[in-house]
Amino acid sequence: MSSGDVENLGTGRAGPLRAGWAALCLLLLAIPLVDRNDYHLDTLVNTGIFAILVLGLNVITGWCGLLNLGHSAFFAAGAYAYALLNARLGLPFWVCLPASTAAAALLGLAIGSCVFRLRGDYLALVTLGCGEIVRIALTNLDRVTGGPNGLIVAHPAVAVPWGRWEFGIRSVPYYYLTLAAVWLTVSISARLERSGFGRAWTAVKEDEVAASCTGINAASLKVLAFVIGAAMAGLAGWLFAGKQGFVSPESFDFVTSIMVVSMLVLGGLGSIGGALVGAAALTIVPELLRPVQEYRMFLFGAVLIVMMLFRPQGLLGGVRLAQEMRPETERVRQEEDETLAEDVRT
Amino acid sequence: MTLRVEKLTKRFGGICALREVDLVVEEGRITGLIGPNGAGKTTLFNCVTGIHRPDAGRVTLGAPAVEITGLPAHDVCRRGIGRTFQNARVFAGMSVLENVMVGTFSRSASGMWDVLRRSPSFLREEKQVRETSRDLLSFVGLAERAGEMAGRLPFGLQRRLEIARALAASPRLLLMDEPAAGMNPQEKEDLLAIIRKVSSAGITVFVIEHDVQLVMRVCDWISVLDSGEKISEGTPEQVRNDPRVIEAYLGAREYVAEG
Amino acid sequence: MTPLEAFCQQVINGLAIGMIYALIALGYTMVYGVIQLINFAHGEVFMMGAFLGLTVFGAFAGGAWQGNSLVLAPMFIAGMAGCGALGVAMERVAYRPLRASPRLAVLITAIGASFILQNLMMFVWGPCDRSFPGFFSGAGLDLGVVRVTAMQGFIIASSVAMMVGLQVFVTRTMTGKALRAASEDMVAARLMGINVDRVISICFFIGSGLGGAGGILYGMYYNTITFHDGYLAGIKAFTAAVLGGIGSLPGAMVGGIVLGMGEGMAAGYLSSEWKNVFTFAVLLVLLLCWPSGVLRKARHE
Repeated sequence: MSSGDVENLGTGRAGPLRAGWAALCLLLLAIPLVDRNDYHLDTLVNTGIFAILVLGLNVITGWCGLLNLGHSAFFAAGAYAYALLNARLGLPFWVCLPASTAAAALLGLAIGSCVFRLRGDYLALVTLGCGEIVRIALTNLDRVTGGPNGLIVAHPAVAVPWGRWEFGIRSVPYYYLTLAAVWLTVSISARLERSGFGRAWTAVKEDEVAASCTGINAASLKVLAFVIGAAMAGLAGWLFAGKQGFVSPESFDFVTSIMVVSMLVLGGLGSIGGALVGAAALTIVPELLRPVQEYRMFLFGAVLIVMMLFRPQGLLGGVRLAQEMRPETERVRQEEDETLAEDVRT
Repeated sequence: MTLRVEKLTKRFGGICALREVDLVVEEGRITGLIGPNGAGKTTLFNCVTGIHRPDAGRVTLGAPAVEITGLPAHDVCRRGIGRTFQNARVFAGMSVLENVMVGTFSRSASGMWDVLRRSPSFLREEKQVRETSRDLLSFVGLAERAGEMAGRLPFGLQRRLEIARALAASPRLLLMDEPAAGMNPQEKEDLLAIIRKVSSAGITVFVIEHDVQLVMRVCDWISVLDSGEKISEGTPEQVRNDPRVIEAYLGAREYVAEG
Repeated sequence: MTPLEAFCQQVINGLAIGMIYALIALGYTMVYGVIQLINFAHGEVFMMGAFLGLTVFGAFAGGAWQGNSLVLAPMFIAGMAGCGALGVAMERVAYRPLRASPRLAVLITAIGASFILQNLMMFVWGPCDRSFPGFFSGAGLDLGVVRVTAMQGFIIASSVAMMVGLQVFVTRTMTGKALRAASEDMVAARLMGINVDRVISICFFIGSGLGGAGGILYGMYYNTITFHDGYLAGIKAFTAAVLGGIGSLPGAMVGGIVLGMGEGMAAGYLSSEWKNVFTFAVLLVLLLCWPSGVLRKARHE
């Protein structure tokens, strides 16, 4: 990769890349015009929902380097926020979007504030624990949340001159809604990536101590990553609930969290394009393998191991990540941190 | 910017790394900190920059003096202290230019909302940051390598990158921890030139170094630590001839005599 | 049953299950001690032990061995050896190549391994609950306020025996000492000529073997096993290991017992639904407040 390209990674998109994105957008917009198969569109909607989830996880884990094994808790927060407001208070779909994102963001704030002090593997476990506690709480607090059976919610509807058009059940409109949501999330991600925040997150991931000494408040950046990643997951949850017509705790378990992690790892930690590729690959392939769908866990597990062993930077991870995953960098950093901690030698 | 350290004490478990150290880094001078291994030099830096919390004593900055004892590292940086590390801790996975750009983050005014809507003020600031960073790279002589991956730079250049990054936060005091370690004589000359340039730019420099010759050449004032205590300070001439210093180094006599 | 009797009964129940957790926890703590990895897949290895034991039992079932407790011997041998081998294989294939990589990479791999193993168990033994044979047919010992069943007694006795055996191994044998040296300081151990690769493999073998034994005891105790039981039991055992101080063998043993009893109390006095929340909550509190373990003295830092 030439030095010009590397610079463009952080500072701006090169011409051809921009054209590529534009072509992809046009292609996605055109799909329902040629293929009206409900099942296909449904799969693409699922891909879109997961893409948003992966983009959210990318902020937390890909950019900021915090392995989050409880992402489905944020997904659940968005979905259940809509479910509760709709089933209990009758609020319509559109009104609930801010509530879903806000609920998830708040949960992200709460969890982020607990974990920012922790080291990598412990942090991962605490997020796992939080995810499980949220799921168990949703299952057990049945008077509020409907318990294991969940809650039924309304599909989104729009008021039109001749009445109400409930389009949640119809694939084509929901496809475009999801596409719009994905586009929004990608735009937000891209803008964040090419800003001071994106660089600061990467700095915190690379070397927290050195980043602090350049004035970066690592703690608040970590919490911020959680808030934003969670908000994106909340958006996905809102979409998911509207499409399904009901929410139940079993959609938000540990397996779901790991699915999202697998998608991110496959596509490339830190890469927006990678997030889309990962989500597409690991939503569409299990659909193709429908007959053996129970073995999807095998697929996700295999993806994780194979990627870590052979291409830790993911399919689209590129130069930036390959450099980072080099063993020497981490070891030098650990040695220096140990020197700082028991500093009696200098 | 003047740095004042008063009766600074730091213990690690049973070991006293710093024992009531008093020292002043006067504004406008290049001050050196030397001492044998284990003297506590890096610990002093760590206490000043907020990586360690001192057990006793005060650290103040500037005139009128502002107390910064025990503040977290990012706060210390915002008060105007920059630092480089013994191991040249650059952000290996980012480009050279991005490394320096990160240094400006603490001073940036763009909030999340500006970023998300790409407001004119954000775009202006990004442009400014990029230009400032390029200027800093030129300052340290790394301009041609702006697009390279920082982790791939040779070690001596990573050191320079660290300096540029530290300068990006607009410090008024720069702490450098053994910047010459592992460098060949030519690289040391280049480093010396950079240090002098930084000082001429109005930034107070405080340097830890093992290369006593280098220190004697570039510093206006030197403090000497041994086993956590300050045993001497003064001009290079005074320190060179101080019997306590010679004794502390025991065997480094030939360096001191020659330099 | 008087409240006192009920309480004492809970203690005994908790002690039995706690021993099982302790055996699994030892696997976590041994691996963490040498290579600082939270072996996510250990919970599945433990479950594999139960399934292997079940299969061996099935091979002997029907016929002269029906109901005979001696069949436990081949079950244990198969379970422990099988799991030990599985652990060593996992280390070779998935963890060793990443030994120099950032820790997060290995953790992700461990999660992947755990998913694969779980799915493998589902594939081989089916997704439904399988019933595990009981032994000792309810015989027991009345000790006044409590009744200890023969099964519980067996669980406690065999666990204690294995733990004592481990302790002897680690303190008295050369290999055991090498293991401890490697946990303290890997680099120094290597410089002393210790074959670190071999030590790590042994560590996995023993840790996984103990987990396998725990799996069989688990099956005996609960009488039903499912392919996804390993996940939850694994988390609980890991919590126990952290409770006692991750990396410390006696800590894992004590942690397991304490957690088992705590869980028993929670189930008995709160509700069984929330008992899992109890475990997760304990885990969170531990990791947030006492990451080096409550029972371990804080190292100077």
